[in-house]
Amino acid sequence: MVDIFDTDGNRIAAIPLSEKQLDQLHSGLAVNVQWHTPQLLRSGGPSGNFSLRLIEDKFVTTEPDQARQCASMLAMQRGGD
Amino acid sequence: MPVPLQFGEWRPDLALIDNQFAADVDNVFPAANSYKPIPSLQPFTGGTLPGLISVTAARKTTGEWAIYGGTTTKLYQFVFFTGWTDISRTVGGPYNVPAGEVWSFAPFGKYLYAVATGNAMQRIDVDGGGNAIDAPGSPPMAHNVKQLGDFLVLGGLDSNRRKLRWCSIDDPSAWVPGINLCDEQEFPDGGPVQGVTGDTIGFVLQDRAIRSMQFLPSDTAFVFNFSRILTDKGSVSEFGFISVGGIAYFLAEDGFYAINPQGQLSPIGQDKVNEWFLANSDIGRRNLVQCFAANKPYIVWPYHSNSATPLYDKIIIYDWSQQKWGKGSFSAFIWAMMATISLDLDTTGSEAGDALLDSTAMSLDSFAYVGGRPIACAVDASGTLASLTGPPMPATLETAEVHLVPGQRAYVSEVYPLIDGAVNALVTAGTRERLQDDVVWGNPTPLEITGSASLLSSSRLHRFRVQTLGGEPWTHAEGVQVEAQPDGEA
Repeated sequence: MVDIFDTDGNRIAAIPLSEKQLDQLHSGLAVNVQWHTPQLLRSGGPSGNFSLRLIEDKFVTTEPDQARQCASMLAMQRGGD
Repeated sequence: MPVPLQFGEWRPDLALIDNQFAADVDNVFPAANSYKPIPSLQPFTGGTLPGLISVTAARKTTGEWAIYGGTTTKLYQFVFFTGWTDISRTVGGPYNVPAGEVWSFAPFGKYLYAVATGNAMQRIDVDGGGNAIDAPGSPPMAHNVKQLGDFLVLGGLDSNRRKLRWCSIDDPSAWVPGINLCDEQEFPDGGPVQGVTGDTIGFVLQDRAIRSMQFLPSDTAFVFNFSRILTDKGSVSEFGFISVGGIAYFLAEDGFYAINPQGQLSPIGQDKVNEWFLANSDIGRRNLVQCFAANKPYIVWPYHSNSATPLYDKIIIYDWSQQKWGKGSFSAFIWAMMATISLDLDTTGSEAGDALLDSTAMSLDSFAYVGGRPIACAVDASGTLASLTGPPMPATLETAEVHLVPGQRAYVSEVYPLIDGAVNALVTAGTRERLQDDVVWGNPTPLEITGSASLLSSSRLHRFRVQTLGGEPWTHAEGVQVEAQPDGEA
């Protein structure tokens, strides 16, 4: 899990990033995270996406609401933590 | 009066009186109007490693091929002359593959992934070499792995054998459901997932159902569409299925089938080999029947013929281009479709097909140095990796039983086998007076300078068996011509 920040430097969520996504971010590329409500939580749940960039050692998104919803979905999967 | 008897299609489930079907064949491939020899297993130099339970080949980005294998506790890479090199993970201790389970391999990009029930998925860097590692992203433990399009799919999860999970799109290091199209699917019926196979459209093979698995681009709600295309019938074996050209071939409880993604089912073994196979295979290990697709249009199922044999001792072969069957007798721990690995440029010339660097035998940019020609391989009874490229196996072909002279006894004076080559073939007559009697086999008779075997026999019913010697080359076996004449009615 890595911490995600908004453009003001506020921590907004923690989400898992894969080895490949981290490689892309560390090489200066933007990464798009597309998320959906998985089958085990399926009840017409939401989906969306947000982009990430590595800026001064912080993973920054310009769509903090999307990142929060994604983190919320992941928390529901883990049992509401 | 020469009577031609063909070695027709091998269909042991049919009645075999007075027709042109073959009563038995062994160590032959079916062909259009004949049978062809099956090569023997040719050991790889340095290929011995007792305990191998799985082998596979993977391709480097440069196009060269590499061979990998696994035992219950280790993973290995095979290198010509050097032999098997341990590439097991260095952290996490030895693997522990349960009895009856094997490694399932799938390539994805420059990596080869390996799973076995009870073990963390392993990732092998085919390009970079080195040891395997626990695959990143915490993938679930699973029984089967398969690459389908831009996804790596794990079938039969340890936590729930009715589930499968696929990774994030084009990212086998990401396994969190809900992120970048990663998700999992649990099937409410059909039993455990034996595995996934397929090409553009996947097949999920359960032991009592088969489902198609089709990617839905831009659909983030479902990602894949699963449709049950076969109910109450599935793959009885955990390893006995494969897909070729978008069609899945599998062994069910009652025999062999092929199915396409639309659910069109073809009972490829019905009235051909199903009953024979069920009577001549070990019911206790039918769940371990393997399957691989050979380079030619053959689907091969290695199996145990009885409960006493410790190894796979038989193979049954389906020619999907002609819908014909053959079989063979080999003892092997495991079978797999592999590829020739590349030859190096600095050997002394003793490597088969290789030559000294300054030889003119092959140019340095020869295709032969790249390798990659598909070959069927097995780990033989001595634990040696071997390819199906040796001299012909000893073959057996038997005609149907015929009344050579209807209503009378027939006197047979000679039999002329229609086989090119196989100069030391032996011909044997099987006879009986009535259909109610047991067949009595005579002595195997060699061929004379005329190409005929002078076997003398008198009976109402005859059948003929031709056996070739192992290592003796031949190309086609069509049948026999029998010199027969009436021999009275008494």
